[in-house]
Amino acid sequence: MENLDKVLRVEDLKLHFRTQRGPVQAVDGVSFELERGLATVVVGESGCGKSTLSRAILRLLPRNIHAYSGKVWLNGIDIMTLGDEQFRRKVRWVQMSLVPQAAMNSLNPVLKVGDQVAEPFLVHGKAANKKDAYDQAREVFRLVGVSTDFLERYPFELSGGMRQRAVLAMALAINPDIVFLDEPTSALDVLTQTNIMNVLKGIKRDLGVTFVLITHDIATSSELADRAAVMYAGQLVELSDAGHFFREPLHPYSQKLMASVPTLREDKELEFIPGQPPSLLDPPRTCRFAERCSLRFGKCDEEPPFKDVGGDRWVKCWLHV
Amino acid sequence: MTQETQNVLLSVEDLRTWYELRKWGFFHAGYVKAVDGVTFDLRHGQAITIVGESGSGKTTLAKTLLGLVPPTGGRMDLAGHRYDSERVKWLRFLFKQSERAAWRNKRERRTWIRAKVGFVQQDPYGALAPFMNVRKILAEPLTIHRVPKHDQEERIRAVMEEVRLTPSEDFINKYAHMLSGGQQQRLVIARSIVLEPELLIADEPVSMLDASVRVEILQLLRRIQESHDLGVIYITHDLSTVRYFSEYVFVMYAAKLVEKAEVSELIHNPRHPYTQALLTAISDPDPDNARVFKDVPKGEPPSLAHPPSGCRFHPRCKRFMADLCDVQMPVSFEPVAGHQVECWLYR
Repeated sequence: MENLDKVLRVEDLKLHFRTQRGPVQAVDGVSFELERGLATVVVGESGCGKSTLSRAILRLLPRNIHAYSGKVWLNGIDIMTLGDEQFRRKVRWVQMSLVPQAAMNSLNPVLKVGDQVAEPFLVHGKAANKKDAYDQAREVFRLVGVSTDFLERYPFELSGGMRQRAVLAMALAINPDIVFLDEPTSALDVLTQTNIMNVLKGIKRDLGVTFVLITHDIATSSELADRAAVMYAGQLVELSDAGHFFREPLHPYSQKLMASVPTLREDKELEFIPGQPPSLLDPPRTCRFAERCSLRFGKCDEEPPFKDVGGDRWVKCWLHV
Repeated sequence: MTQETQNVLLSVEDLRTWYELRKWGFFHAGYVKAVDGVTFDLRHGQAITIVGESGSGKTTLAKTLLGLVPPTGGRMDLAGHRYDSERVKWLRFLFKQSERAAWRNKRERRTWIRAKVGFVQQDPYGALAPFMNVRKILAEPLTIHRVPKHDQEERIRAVMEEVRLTPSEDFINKYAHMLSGGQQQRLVIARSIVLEPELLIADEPVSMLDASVRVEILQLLRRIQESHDLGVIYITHDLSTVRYFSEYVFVMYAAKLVEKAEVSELIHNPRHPYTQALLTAISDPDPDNARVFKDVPKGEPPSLAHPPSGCRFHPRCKRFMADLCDVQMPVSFEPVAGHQVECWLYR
């Protein structure tokens, strides 16, 4: 019997892409669990595989797949064994949905916003007719704090922040358990960003939606985070609760990453991480961060395990074994 | 002339850049006032930051200062030379010999500006020609400005050394796509200083880069600014990086500079309600953030084609005063020496 407080459990998930120069190991052996109602942020540099991770879980795959394996349990059901049609009917958008990157530009420019937000209700049989779907769309629009007048408008008539909220409304439409947010605020202004973060906090508190926030902006991510995960070169290197993570991260990469975040109120010497992440075409068999790590020692020539170090914290580093 | 005025590198007074709107492609239909009455001075070797949201006109201001967009009115003096604010009158230019001479002068003046002012673009990959290698990219400005061939190589190596694209042998024959994001941005910086400008304009130089590289690029810019005694205008939307770069900061809202102050003064004593909201909105990485709802103004910045009357922030302002803020445009007040703010609260 699965524990139902764990809404999602991922074990050894792999997604490799086929390219002309060989397979790219974009997500390579990721395991984690999500607790119901808590928001997890996934941070990492560009190209570390954090967006690909969300697409692998939602099975939104491109054609050039080299390898796709692992186990994903959603509410205790192994969804990797479902067929594509079953997955579309029962999982995608019904139990898990996605706010894609550059969501503001993912609306169809020739359809009214209302038609697009009402579509999930009709497709998944939650509304009897178009009018009913529109009524329900009005509900979710209120939820994200957009005037319902905007349902009758076209996307170009809405500002960036409004469009972002409309896409969020689509993702929340049929009460999914988990919503993946891929860089939801990175193209927006600071004040709009904060307003959207307030909306997300309200939804988390009132509806108990489990959010997964994928971002490279650590400062903004702290607005929503209950737990934090750090990805590096296709793997998770640290997963812990936000309170511990933002105050004292354990993995050397997380420490460097936190030290590179500029702060407004606090005086601190900023650091940067020399070098570049390894190529995912042929990542080293050692610890993948070893080359850039200042704390490297003999054992780092082997790949460390992703291990529970107590207190709900997992770290992939030989220093914490 | 006093010591103070001699030291001024760039002096801008009441600068306006308006884009004309057309109806049916022909009739006049008002203006988008992207920059409207901007005044400031920049001394030699001084670094300033302009902070503003998207659509506040900060990029148009940069383009105007670079001479890429003709200003509609106002005055810009760079190192004692005034730039022309007159538009090219195409039809007259076709017929009149004198206009043609004026055009030639204009081109010379532009070339002069290009050598005096360096530009660091936002998106390094978009700013670098994909068909040129590093040597070609860095040689092009030198060729245009008629630097002899045999001096070029030496100059290229020197700037590559300066931005730490070293060893230069490894990089000089590479194309832009072979470099990482940070290296591309360093190449853009190298190109902007290859002509030894006196002023550098950096428009969001780090917003496309990862957090871990951002700091490195800012420190590099800072070092170049100090070693060459450059005047630098750093344009950004991210207030949290400002203190690592400049001493002085201007806040731009809806085409106007609403607050001008030293960085620490601005962060600890913001005066304008907009600046105060901006500072509330910016978060430091702190787990406690997740437990509080932030009190920030709703709504969006105003349309620059039809800005609100009076103070442009008044529809979103918490401390709005009826019959004053919505009627009269605030003038500049100086509540503390060196801290200017355009808000009626400080009258």
